[in-house]
Amino acid sequence: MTDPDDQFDEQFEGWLDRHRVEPLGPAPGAYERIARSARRRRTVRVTAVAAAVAVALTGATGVAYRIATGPGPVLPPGASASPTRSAPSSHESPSPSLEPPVSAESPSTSATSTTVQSTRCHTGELQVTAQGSPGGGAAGSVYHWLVFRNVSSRTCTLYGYPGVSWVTGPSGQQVNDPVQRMTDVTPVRVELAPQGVAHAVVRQGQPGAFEPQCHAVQVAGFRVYPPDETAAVFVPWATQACSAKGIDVGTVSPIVAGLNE
Amino acid sequence: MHEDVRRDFFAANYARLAGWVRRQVDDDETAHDIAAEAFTRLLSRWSDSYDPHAYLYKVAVNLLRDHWRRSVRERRVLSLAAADQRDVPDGRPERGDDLRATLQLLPEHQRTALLLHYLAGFSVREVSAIVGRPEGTVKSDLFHAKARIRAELDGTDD
Repeated sequence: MTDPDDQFDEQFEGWLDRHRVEPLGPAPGAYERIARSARRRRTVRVTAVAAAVAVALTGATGVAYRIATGPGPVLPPGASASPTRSAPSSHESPSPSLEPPVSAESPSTSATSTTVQSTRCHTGELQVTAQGSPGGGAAGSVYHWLVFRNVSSRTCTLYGYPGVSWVTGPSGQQVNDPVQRMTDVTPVRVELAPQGVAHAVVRQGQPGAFEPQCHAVQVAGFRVYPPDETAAVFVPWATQACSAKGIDVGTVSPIVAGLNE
Repeated sequence: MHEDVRRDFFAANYARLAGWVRRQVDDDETAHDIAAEAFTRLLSRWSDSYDPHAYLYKVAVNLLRDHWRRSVRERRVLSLAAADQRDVPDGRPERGDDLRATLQLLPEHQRTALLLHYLAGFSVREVSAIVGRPEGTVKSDLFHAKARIRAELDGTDD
């Protein structure tokens, strides 16, 4: 006689085996779609938190905050305009208790001048490199990426635009005016874990298209000031730029998280 | 690099998660929807402070529970037979062969524990972390789930 328990175990194994999980692979491009919507949600959440912090700060500690961060819109009042626009889809289930906390971004901890100041990534904590845009350029335009990597051991944040100029060398002369900010994109606060990366896009017109006014010259790279920093780094990137002031100075986008376009 | 870590994690875990979900829903499309939503939530909150694998399944469990409750409601309206026919091959199915019909016999906690432990391969400790219940309770859930399935399977053997 077989032990009924052993017999059942065998039967149960068989039952499990019939229902074994068969892998169901993702459709092509699934990761990109998912990463994109994840980024949108992150942005919405961060913007909402930033708006809450801005409200708290202007109410209670507005003066201390302005002194600590200096000029520049670190948390623009307009940030409150967008949070509802791309609200989470209907898939979002009403079970917030099981979600992990958003790291270190609760208004209560951020609403002091010291925290706002100390989370910013400083020039010395960043490795800045240039690379061609993975998507190439559009007709008549050249896109360069400035990649910011957090090489420190703490998590820090980047918010807004880097200051960017064309230069002839590491301590060389500036060529043309500083690159202008691309104002049709709303900056978002980017949190960089150690070794985390973010990027900004520098767009310029093909210098050749601006001749004869352009006076294109070879430049050795960019001088880059991370947002709200006063120390710059030289970022090697040999390319052509117009030397005539104000001609095709280019535009720079706000810094966005990751290395996806 | 952060982005690479996420991409690799996706590549390593998507098909298994989607396959696991597929066992509990009617069609591939729903399975992809739920798996994609779980990954979206994971990536939008990616942090080194918790286990992404456990978090992924935790989200999927919640989504499946919602889905399950919805479809139970729907099935009450539609005819139960019509809804259950979709996955059953021709011929008279053995009892217990329609996994979802069998799972439906189990209380929610037992069902979740069974699916995570026996089908997804999580240890009792991991299941306990995912569902937020003590290990002893998970063990008891598994025991009762198994007993219920035993009763169901035994019903087939004459």
